[in-house]
Amino acid sequence: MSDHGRTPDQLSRVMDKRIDRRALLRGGATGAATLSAAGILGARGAHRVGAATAQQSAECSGEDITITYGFWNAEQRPAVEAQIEAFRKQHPNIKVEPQVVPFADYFTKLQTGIAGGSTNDVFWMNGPNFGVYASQGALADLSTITGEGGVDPAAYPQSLIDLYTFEDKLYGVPRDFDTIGLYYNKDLFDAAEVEYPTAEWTWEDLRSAAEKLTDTERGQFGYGSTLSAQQNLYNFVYQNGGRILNEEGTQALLAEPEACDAIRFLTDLMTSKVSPDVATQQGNNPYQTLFPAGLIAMMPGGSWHAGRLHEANPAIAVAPLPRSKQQASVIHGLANVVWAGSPHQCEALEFVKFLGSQEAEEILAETATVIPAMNGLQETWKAAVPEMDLQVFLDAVDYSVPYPTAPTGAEWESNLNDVIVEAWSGGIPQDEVCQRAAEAVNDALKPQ
Amino acid sequence: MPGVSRQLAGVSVMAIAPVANEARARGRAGPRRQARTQALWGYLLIGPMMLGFAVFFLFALIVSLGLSFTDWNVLASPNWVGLDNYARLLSDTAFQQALRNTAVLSVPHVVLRIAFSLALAIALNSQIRFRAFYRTIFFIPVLTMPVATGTVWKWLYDPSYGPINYALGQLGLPRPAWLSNPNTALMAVVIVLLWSGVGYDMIIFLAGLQNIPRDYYEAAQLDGAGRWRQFRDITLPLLTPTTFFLVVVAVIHSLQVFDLVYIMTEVEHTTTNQFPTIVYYIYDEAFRNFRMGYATTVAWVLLILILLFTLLQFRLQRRWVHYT
Repeated sequence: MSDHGRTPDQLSRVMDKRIDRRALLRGGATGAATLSAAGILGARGAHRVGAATAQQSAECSGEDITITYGFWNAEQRPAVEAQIEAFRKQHPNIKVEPQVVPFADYFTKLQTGIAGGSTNDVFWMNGPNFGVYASQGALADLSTITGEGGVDPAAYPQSLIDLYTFEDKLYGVPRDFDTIGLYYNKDLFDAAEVEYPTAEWTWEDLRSAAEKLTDTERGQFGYGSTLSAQQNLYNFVYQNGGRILNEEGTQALLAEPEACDAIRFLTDLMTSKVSPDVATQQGNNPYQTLFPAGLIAMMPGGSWHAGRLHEANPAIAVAPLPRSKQQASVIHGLANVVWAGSPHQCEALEFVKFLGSQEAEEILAETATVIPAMNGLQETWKAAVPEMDLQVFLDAVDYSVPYPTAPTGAEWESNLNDVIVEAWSGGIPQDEVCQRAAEAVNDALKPQ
Repeated sequence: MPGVSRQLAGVSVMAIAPVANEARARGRAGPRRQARTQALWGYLLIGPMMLGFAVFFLFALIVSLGLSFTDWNVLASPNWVGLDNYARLLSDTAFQQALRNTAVLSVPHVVLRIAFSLALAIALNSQIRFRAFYRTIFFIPVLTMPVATGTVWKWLYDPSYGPINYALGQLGLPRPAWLSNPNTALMAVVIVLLWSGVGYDMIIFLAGLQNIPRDYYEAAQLDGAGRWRQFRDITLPLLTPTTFFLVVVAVIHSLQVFDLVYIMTEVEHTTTNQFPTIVYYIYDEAFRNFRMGYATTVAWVLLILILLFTLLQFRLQRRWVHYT
């Protein structure tokens, strides 16, 4: 980075930081002791040092440095590598190593890594987990790279900026967003002579089409009622005017009639066998196997599946989710964050700044990887798979509802899943499901 | 097997220490110096092992005991909560479920494992063709990584597309949802545990069988004992020390089942497990629900359980184990 084009104000800020660094160096032996102590004590100690280093971010050493970038979706690796390559052109001395950890183990590994004082310098964060990490001081404050020449929060949807703000400070640069649509297999619809789904479809339309499209002989299911609540259950609750959690994320509202009817509607689809049962879904990710293979006719799914599903089976198209009292789709978006304990704070921040740039976001759009979070790039994403009506996902933003989150983390979701799995396997009487679900979720929302 | 190497290391410590003491006791200057050198070498040789043991085992053990009285969530500093974690165990239904699952898994696992491996060892100790080949075949599963084993078996058990249910369907038999129903999941997990564990026990039994002097059998034959009589009165009693060792190991092994249930019985897209065991529960609490303090409490309860079971078995061995 050169000093060209900096305003006097910015320059004085840079000066301040230089002084800070000098002050830090003056600490001398004490500083070194703190550093080594940080290494041993892990997250808490490291955090303090991390915050101090962040202050001097504008100036990187220029040495050859390798930082690591952690994320969980291996399907997005090509796009991530393209981003890294583009970054490398601007910063030849900073090498970024991509590290994929499957989602099931992602947060486990992250948490242990932070506790052990060694994890990825930059990594993906999601809404449900953000609160826990930000409140424990594991993430670096990004205020030093926001503003002119850096990340511009106004370039992103406000809901995503809000999602990654904790106590008025931004800790994550929005990367992408996703909404949910109804994917369907045109070949199976044609064969069964059923009309394609439309934006006007109601739950009843979905159910009757699903019944017609179910062919037990062939092992074909009408609807894939996935256990991924973000792509299935939550949307139905909102469509019915219900809610998952209260505003503060401290209480479950699943026992209310609106939410409960949605749970029952899906439970019904499971027990009447128009959807593959839990046992079948247990070992088969329907998005990777059953649906592309033409064994499921309709599948609710996130926008991030679009590119790959089209590639796997060109007969797959997409329509809006059906409605009940209203249209609704869950909206969620990932962010890139910096580990507060990273020894290469400056380089890590520089990389996140790049990931928040138009150039990096365009890479995500052109490869149809995900919908970029930055305003104005969504059309590029849409054009990447012209055969599919991806406008469906962009329209969904207008009737979208934020992914439900709670300050206590994501445990409530795992409790909810336990109940849903049992109910969909037929292990809980219909009239007890909602009450049990609400109780299980409330268990995890209690402050501990 | 890490357990075995640990035991071997234990043996070497015990073997060396008395030698050193004995030498010291002799009292003369020359031998004493010699003894000291010997002891020094002994300590030097066990040093690396003891260091690793102290750092990664003893230290961790003590720290975890301390943590079991705190609310440590890994990210923030721990707070002392006294016996709260232990009290919580009493009302924690998920913990009790995991404990029950582990118990119902242990009984058939231990019994069948001993029975099958003994039968295999006896069969493969007789003079049959391709004996070495069969021994290798039965031992190979022991060398396979549990994660790979679990992944392949999960596919074999697939209710709709797996070969097992395909075969059952062809035979007109019911096709169970193996891994999704706690009862069949129990069976499925025990089958895989046996498949991957019997080979090891078989080898130990084979060694035990080959240690029985042939003349016992010859003498018995002269006295007119039949094959069954020989098996009951010579083979079984003389194998009891081996059996005892294998039972102790199998019980510990049963109480520590984790990887198989983590791979096989967890539901895609969720963190719901159809057959959580006690170690799985520790993992879930510690690393997914951020309750490291509580998880160490469960780990300590498990340690005490294993200790109790092992002590009990050492007590009971006097009644049935014969040492020659």
